[in-house]
Amino acid sequence: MPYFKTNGVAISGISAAVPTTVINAETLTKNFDSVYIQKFIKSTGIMSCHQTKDNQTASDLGFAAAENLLAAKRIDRSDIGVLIFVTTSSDYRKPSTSCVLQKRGNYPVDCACMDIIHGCAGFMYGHQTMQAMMQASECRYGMLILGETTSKVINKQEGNAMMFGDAGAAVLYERKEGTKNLTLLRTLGERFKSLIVPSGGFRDLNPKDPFFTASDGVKHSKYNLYMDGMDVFNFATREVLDSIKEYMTKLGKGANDFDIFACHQANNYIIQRMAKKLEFPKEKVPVCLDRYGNTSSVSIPLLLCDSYGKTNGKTKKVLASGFGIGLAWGVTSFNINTDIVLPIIETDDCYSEGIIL
Amino acid sequence: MTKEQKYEMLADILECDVEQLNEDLVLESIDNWGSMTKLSLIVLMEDEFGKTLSSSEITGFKTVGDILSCMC
Repeated sequence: MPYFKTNGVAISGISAAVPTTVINAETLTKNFDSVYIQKFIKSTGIMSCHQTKDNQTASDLGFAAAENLLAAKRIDRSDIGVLIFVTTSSDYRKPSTSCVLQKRGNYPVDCACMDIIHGCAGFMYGHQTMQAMMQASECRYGMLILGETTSKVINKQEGNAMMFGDAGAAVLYERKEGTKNLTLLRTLGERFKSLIVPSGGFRDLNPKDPFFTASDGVKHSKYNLYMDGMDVFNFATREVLDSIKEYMTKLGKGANDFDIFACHQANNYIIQRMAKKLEFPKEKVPVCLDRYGNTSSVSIPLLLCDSYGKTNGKTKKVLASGFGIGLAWGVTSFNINTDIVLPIIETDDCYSEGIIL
Repeated sequence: MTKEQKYEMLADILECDVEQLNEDLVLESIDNWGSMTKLSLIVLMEDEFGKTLSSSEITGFKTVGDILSCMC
């Protein structure tokens, strides 16, 4: 069973960053009628999101969050032995963006750098991998950076123009005796076509036809994100929900044992349905997708920064679940002290040296 | 459950008057028959009838009658 146990590693800081440009109902009225926009808001719960300009990448946002965190924590970055970047929006097709982040952030050579290509389940996979790598080594700190710019692969003329927001986050891990973690990770690769950008990789390098007929019977660009909404909804409210219940049973815990259910911010309808089925009262289920949209792997750290960035001196027991493209999902739980959770920052900085001329 | 009650449930998720619905009504002709309505239908079938609808089953629904016959 894919339950992963780790011990001796804890989260010691969380930071998140978003671009300054806000897309909301007002900005969308140029392309869509107001009745349609109100319907979209009602059905998703998303009222606005932040989107990058052309040059700003997922790693730019993650880098800003990491620098913000390092400035607050005042640790020696030469003590960071693992750097993981989680994204499906790499800077280049090759090399791994984590190598670029190492150079840019002046991380030591004595640092293992790797990318994890996962979307909405990315924080679950990154969180487990980081702890496992640290436990298996003597590294004092590990930096997990997450970034996503899904807005760059959606057709802005289609109805989901405001569905996906861009964001980055950084989660610092440190050795801490007595900390135990249990993470459940699962994958349903047989439904990989339910959420996909078909071209731009190496499978269909130079497509003769840049359009394809998807499961909804409609033609879509192969370079845009296609989502079978019904299939993903079913996945979230069945397989993912069952796994969360199973995880809680395995821990012998119920909703009363957690302060919050940090659910991936995909759609408010899904979040509320899951919360109800898991018997979490509304006040334990924070939401930030109304202002940031679906930010993929960043959504859970972003949610924590939105909820606790300005709270001090409290310890919170968090149950978290990330799920989406793959289809992949995970469930985990951890305690965080709100002092180490920073408020969300805004930035349009981009790495001009990264543009190869 | 009576047929009237089923019509009322459908009218509720389609956000229309019950009088507008009949068995032969083509779903594509209904303004609100969209992605969100389909999700509401999945939830309705699960909660009220204990049935698990797949995305392809919903795509197969052509008329209001197709849905009604599944509501049992």
